[in-house]
Amino acid sequence: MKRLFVFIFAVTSLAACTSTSSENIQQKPESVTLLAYDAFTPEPGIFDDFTKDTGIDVKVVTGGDSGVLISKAILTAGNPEGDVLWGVDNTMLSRAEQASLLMSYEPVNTGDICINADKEWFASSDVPMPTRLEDLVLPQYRGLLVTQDPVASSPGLGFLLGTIAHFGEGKWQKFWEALKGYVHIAPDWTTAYTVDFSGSSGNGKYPLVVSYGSSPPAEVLYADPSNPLTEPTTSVIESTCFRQTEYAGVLRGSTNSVAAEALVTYLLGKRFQESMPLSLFVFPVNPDAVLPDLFVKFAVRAKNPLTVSPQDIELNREQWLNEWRALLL
Amino acid sequence: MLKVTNLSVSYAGTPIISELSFEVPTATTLAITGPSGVGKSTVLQAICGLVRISSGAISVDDRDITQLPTHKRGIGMVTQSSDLFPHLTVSQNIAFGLRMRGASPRETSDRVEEMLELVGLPDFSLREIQSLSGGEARRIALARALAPSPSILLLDEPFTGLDDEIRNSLMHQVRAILQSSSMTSVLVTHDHSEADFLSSSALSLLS
Amino acid sequence: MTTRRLLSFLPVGFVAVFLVLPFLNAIATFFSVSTTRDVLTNPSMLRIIWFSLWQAVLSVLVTMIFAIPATWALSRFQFPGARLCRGLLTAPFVLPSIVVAAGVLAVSQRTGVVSILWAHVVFNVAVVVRLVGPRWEFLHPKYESLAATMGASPAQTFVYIVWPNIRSAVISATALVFTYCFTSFGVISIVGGFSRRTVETEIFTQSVRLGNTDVAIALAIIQMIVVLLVFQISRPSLRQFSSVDVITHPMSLFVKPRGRWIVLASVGSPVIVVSLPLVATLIRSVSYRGHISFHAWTTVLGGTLPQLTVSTWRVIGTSLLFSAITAVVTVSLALMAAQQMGRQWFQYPEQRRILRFITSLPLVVSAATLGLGLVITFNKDPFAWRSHTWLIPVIHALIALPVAIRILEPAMQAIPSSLRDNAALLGASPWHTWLRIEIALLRPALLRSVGIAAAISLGEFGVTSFLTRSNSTTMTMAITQLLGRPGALTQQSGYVLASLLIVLTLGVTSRA
Repeated sequence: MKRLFVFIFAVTSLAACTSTSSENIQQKPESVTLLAYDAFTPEPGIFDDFTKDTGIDVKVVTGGDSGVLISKAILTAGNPEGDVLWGVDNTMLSRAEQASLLMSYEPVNTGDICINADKEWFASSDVPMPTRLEDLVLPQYRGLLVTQDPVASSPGLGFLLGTIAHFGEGKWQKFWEALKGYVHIAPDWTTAYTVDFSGSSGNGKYPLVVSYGSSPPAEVLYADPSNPLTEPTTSVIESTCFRQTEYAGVLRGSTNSVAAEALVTYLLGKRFQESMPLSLFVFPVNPDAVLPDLFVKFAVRAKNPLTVSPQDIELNREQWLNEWRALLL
Repeated sequence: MLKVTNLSVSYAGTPIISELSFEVPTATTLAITGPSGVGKSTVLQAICGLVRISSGAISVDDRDITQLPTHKRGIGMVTQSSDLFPHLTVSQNIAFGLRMRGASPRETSDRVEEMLELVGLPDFSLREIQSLSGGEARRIALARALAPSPSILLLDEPFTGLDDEIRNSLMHQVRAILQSSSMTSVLVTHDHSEADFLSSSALSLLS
Repeated sequence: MTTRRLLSFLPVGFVAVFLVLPFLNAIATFFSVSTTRDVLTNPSMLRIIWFSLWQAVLSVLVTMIFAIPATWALSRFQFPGARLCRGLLTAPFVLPSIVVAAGVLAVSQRTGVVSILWAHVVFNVAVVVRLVGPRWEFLHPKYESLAATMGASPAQTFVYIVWPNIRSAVISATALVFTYCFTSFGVISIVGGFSRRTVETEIFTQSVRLGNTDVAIALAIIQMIVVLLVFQISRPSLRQFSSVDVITHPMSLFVKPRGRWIVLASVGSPVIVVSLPLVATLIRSVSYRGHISFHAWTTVLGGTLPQLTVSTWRVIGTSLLFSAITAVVTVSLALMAAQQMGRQWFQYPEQRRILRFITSLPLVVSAATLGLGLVITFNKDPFAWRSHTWLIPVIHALIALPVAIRILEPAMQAIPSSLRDNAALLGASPWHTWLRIEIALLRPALLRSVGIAAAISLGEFGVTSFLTRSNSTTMTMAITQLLGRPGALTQQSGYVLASLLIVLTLGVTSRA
């Protein structure tokens, strides 16, 4: 048993070593480092075209989720761990600007944070699917929604900001007061979607969950092959969508800013932008990018999304979070 | 011959042995007696190099060994609790000293057999340490100490904790072994009859 | 003598460079007296500190209730399946919190204190079994039999014979379990629900989510003080060992029919509590809303991880590589440290205490603080190590070091110095004595510490997620990514990988 284990270990570590060494070819004359969050999973080989055109090698490094990423970047402002930063979103832009984190930045993708509904659940119950935020405080929808802690989770924050945008100052607090006791707050997306939500693997008891407009096509694309889906089992309530924009920028203090600028341009180019929907499940900002069918059919991009300007977020975010916490804890 | 000159040992600032000198002529046995706690075992440990000495010199056959590390001194010891290596068999225990000096397997197994015969336990080679009785363990410890042919043999209360019959027979055996091998030895004991029986001279330590 | 001094400096230097330095740097950079005062007077902060304390104490109690009878049963009795049970109880300690938390939630179906306690039991029964078990095994039953012949009832035998011998191990285990529960992060944040906040989760929230590093540092210092106090109170007393008790295998007794039920219950209940979440993980890897399928297994074992750009084998290989490096580094340093602590250095008793204190520091410092400290410390050439891949197993070794020392030190103390003396007399040089006597007798403890260090590395998430990596995704990272995305195949693959991690961990830790 021990020998077998040692053997397996030797084989796999050999595999790991050989593949590591083959990818760390540092012999290119120039290389640029892209710093992103752990969930950054671009299409394999997507940077080959860039390398071919410019002769610059792209090294992707990841470290933590978007919150951790931004905190670390702020702490190391001026002496960054990479050249290009991917993953600051509009709720964090103010923090980045305060710390003068980026020499320049561009919006590089958008996504909508919306309530996803379990179609099956609603089909087999007498309650119709809600169509707008106001519905959620009605008696028949009590105890059906799970959202995330806005302090810890970006969809949670997006949803909160959406309610602030929709109801306005003074009134959004009443909305949440009415929800108190009837909404389940999960600590993060994973718990909300995979444990509490009834429409996913957790088989939970909440048929409404705060997630993304791009979650339904993901459900179809990554359905179990023995139980394939022709259409998603979840639908998106468009009026609840909050627009999230992500930015990519050149980090201040990068020693490679020319190559970094070139990379950002590439990230905004048609090739990369078209690869994003199915690898990162976000919408491109480049108008020339063609959306894949799956996205056209099933992804939701709200025509009139709820928005809050980055400046407003900068001014009020802490206060809003404190108020929300006071209301719901 | 063992010669100890002006040996002093302290422990945490308190002197235990002060300026002790004695000689043990070749092929004789010296008994060191005295009340418990007076430092008899410490003398043995000093001779072996297991405790640091503050001053003094120790020589074996006119060779000064005071600065030598323990494993180079060629001194054998049998302790009160036998201290056989629990993870090794009887013969592996006895063979240990020979292995350390790189003796050939043939040489080793011959010597182990010889030692087992000497202590009167010829069939014990594959026995587990845990299965030995007190007297048997003591005899194996003796065999182990003698196997690498030490120049000096030290015995620290070797007969304590054994019942009378075994003690008596062991005492006779040990005396016979010491005489037949012409071993220079030092025996530490609090029992004067043991001292008288086994040694040719005695040193009495008083605090 | 000087080589020995040098050897004891290595573990100290290691901890100093990779833990003390970043931590002090973080404090120096972010500490503010006014913020600290505010934190200490803020009622919600005080509530957080209070909750952290009582949930830890309760967790320790519940853990002991399950663990002590199980340890007794496993130390005293031999029965078919004992080995498997011990493996099942000791493996989860090193599983990533996300795996255990998801498993506990799958069974309990709700977040809250009960789930927190459950998850803590799953993790910490292992600590008790690993630390107390060896002491109990080596306590020769002959003493208990003797006591009985002299009229002692089972209860009296426990109080007067057993307890004095296992007491120091139990106290050591209690301190460790308390520390783990007090500083636990993943469990509290996932399973406690959003309203349950502890000092550790608040440190993370304040520093990472809200950008209030000064508040985080104030909390980190408070946390450190509490843990240091606990360690001070529980400093193990000197142990006496007699050489006869150094046995290399435990005594085994066969159970009388009447006592059989007690033994089964003692082992069975913690096994059930601990395995339920693991079984739930396995179930979720093949079932999705009632529909059973093995596609996720074939996908993952075929090398693909849905939505991720790394292959299964690459991920497993990376984890195994890191864990192997961690094990080597940890055990080497732990051996050096235990060696120094074990020497009867009458002249330097303080040295032993200092060594034990410094090598226990990794338990005391919050993972989030360490992560931040590392980022701001190793950022200038020639020490620009923060993005170097090798830093990951080094930090894993740092985390595993205190545990490995707690396994090796008692084992080393159990070797009477007379055995070493005798080897020397018989001509063994210090090197030979060390190799043939000490290492030989330490073998079971060494194997245990290698297993634990490797397993800790396999399951580490907290600090690793802070460190920047390129092309070195570990299993825990991959599991987190898979579980963090929608799609049946993706989710189930996450559980497949989690199941593989459980099996791997079981395999690595069951060696002892």
